[in-house]
Amino acid sequence: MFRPNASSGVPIYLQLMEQVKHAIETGALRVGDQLPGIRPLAEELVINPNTVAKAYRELEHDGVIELRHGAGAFVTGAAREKKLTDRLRAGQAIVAAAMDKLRARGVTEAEIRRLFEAELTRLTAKGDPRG
Amino acid sequence: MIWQHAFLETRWRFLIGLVLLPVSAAFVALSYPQVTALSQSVTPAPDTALGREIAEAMELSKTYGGYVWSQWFQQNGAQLAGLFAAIIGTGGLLSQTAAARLFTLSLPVSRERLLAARAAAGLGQMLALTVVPALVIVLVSPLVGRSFPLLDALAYALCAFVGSAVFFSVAFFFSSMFGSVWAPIVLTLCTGAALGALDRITGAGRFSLIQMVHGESYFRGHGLPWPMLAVSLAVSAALLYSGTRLVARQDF
Amino acid sequence: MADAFVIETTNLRKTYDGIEALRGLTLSVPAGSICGFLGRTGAGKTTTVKILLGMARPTAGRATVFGLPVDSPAASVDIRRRTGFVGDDKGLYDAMTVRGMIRHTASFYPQWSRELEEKYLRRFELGAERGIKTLSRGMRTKLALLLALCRGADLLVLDEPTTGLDPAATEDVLQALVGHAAERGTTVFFSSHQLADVEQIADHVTIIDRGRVAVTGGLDDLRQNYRRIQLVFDGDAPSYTFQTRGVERVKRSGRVMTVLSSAGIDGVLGEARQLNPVSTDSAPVTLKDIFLDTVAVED
Repeated sequence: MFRPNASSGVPIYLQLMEQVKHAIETGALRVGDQLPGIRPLAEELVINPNTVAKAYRELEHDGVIELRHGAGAFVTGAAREKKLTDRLRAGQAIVAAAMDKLRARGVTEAEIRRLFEAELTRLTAKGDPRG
Repeated sequence: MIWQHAFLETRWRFLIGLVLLPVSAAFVALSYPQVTALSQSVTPAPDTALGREIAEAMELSKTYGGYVWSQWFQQNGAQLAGLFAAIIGTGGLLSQTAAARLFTLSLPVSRERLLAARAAAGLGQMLALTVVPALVIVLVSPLVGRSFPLLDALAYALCAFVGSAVFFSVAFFFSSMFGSVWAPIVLTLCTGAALGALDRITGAGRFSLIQMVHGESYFRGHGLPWPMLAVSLAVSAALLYSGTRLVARQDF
Repeated sequence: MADAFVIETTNLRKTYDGIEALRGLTLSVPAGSICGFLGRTGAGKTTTVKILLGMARPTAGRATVFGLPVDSPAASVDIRRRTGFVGDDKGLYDAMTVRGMIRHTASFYPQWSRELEEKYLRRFELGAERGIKTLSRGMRTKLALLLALCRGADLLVLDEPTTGLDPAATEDVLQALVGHAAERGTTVFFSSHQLADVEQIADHVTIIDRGRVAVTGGLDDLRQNYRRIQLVFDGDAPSYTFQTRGVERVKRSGRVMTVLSSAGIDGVLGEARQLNPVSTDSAPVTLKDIFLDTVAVED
C-alpha cells in the first residue's frame, strides 16, 4: 500500500503522510482501521523507524489518525475525516481556479509547476511547519 | 575463546611438526641396528676433520644412549625444534591479512591478552614438539631390543623445550616489528647460526645456549644445567614482553 | 543509555607518516539513530572508524563511544564488547564453516543470543554447515552482519555494508539493519558510497571531506534546508558574491547561475531578485546533490 521513494528529494515522512491521506481518501483505509505498527512498517518498507514515527505524529497533529497508547495508530472518526476532506476539496477548487487563470495567460504546465514550487519553497523557508 | 583463536592461527604448522618430529625420532631409534652393522665395517681416517667427526660419532654410537643422544637430541631433534620454533613464532597481527586482523582487533580483548594467548599457545605447542618425540623414543626402543630411560628422555626434552622457547621468543619478538611472515623466520635462524658460531669461537661450555639445548651437560653426567635454563627462561620472558609492548602501542 | 550521543569526537586529528588523515573532526551521533557516514575515498572515513574502535590512536583531540574514551585500552575493550563491527573485508575465516565461525565469535560475547542466531540463519538462508569459502559476497556480508547483530550490541559500526551487493541482497541487509534498530534501539553508524541506501534508512548524515566534517545533521532537516536555486539571465550570468549566510556553492554557466544554499533561502532569493534574473527556479535537493556539491573536487 505504501511506497515512498527515498531519492525523490521529498522527505520520506512527508511522502508517507501523503500516502496515508490518499489511502483514506480512496477508501483503502476506513475510519477505525488500524495502521501498521511503526516498527513492522519501518521494517517492511526498509526505512528508518523514526521516519515512520514522525509521519504518524504529524498525521495525528493533522487530525488524520489518533495514536492510542499501547494499542497503535487508528484512522480517526468521521467528523475529523470530513473536515480534512472538506479542506482538501476547497483547496482543490482554489487550485483549479488558479490554474485556469494562469493557462488563460499562456503559462505552460511546466512553468506552473515551477511557480508553485518556488512559492512552496518560500513558505518552507519562512518556517511554516506544514511545509 | 582466545585460546582457540590463538591455536587456530598456527595449527597447521604445529600439526605438521607433530607428525614430522615424532616420526623422525622413531626413525632414529629404529635405525640403530643398521648403524651398528655399518660402523663395524668402516674405519675412518683419523687425520681429516670429517674423519674425526665420524670417529667421534662412531664412538658415541657404541652405546644406544650415546647414539640416541647424538643423533636426536644433539642434532636432528634440536635442529627441527629450532626450525619449528621459528616457524610457529612468526605471524601475528602485523603480518595477517587485513580481514583476519580486523576480526581480531575488533574483539573485546586487550592487545596484551591477545599476545599473551599467542605466546602461551606457541609455547604449549613447542612443549608438545619436544616432549612427544622423546616419549616416542622411549616407547619405540624395545622394538630394536634396547631401552631408553624415561627420566633421561624427559631431561633432554626439558632442555630442548627451554632452548626452543628462546627461539620461539626471538621469532615472536621480530614478528612484532616486521610486517612480513618470512623476515622473523630468517632473522631467528640467523640468530641461531650466530650463537652456534659464537660457541665454536669461544669454546663456551657451561654458558653455551646451544649446548644447553642439546642437554650436553646432562649427557656428560653433570646433571641439568639449571643456571642456563633459568637465564634462558628469563631471556624468553623478556623477549615476549617486549614484543607484546611493541604491538600494544601499534597503530593499525 | 543515559547519554544523548553514542559517538562524540572533538577536534580529532590523526597523522600517519606525515600525512594528515584527520584534521580536526568534530561529530556527534545521536543515540538510537541510523547515521550515514559519507565521504570520498581517502577523506578519512576508515581512519575515523579505526580510531573509534581502538585500532589506531588519535594524534590529538578527543573521541568517546558510550561516553568512554577511545584511547584508553581498558575502556576500548568495553567499547568493543558493546559494539558490532562489520568491516570492508568482512573478517571471516575461509577455512571454517558458518556454524564454526558463529560459535567461535559467540565465545567472546557473554550477551550472545542464540535465539537471534537461529532467527538470522533462517532469515538470511545461511546453511549452518556450509564452508565459508563457498559463500557468495552477499552471503558473506549477511554472515558478517549476523555475527555483529547477535552479540547484543548497543552500537553497530559498518564499513560499506552494501557495496558490491545485488539489489535483493542490499534490501535484505538494509531490512535487517532497520528491523534490528527498530526492535532494540541500537544505534547504527555506517559509512557508504551507496547514497540511495543512506537516503533510504538513515535519519542522520555526516559528510566528511579531507579530514573534516563538511555537513552534518538530521537527514530530513538537510533535505528541507538545502535548496538549489537556478537563475536565468538575459545576458551572461553576473559574477556576484552572496552576502546571505548559508550559500554553499555558486556556479555560473553561460546565462545560468545555480546557487546551492543550506539555509536562509529567503535572503538568497531576495538578493537574487536584485540581480534581475529572467526566471527564478527553486528545487529540492537530493543527498547526492548535497554530497557532490559540498565535497571538494580534485583540482
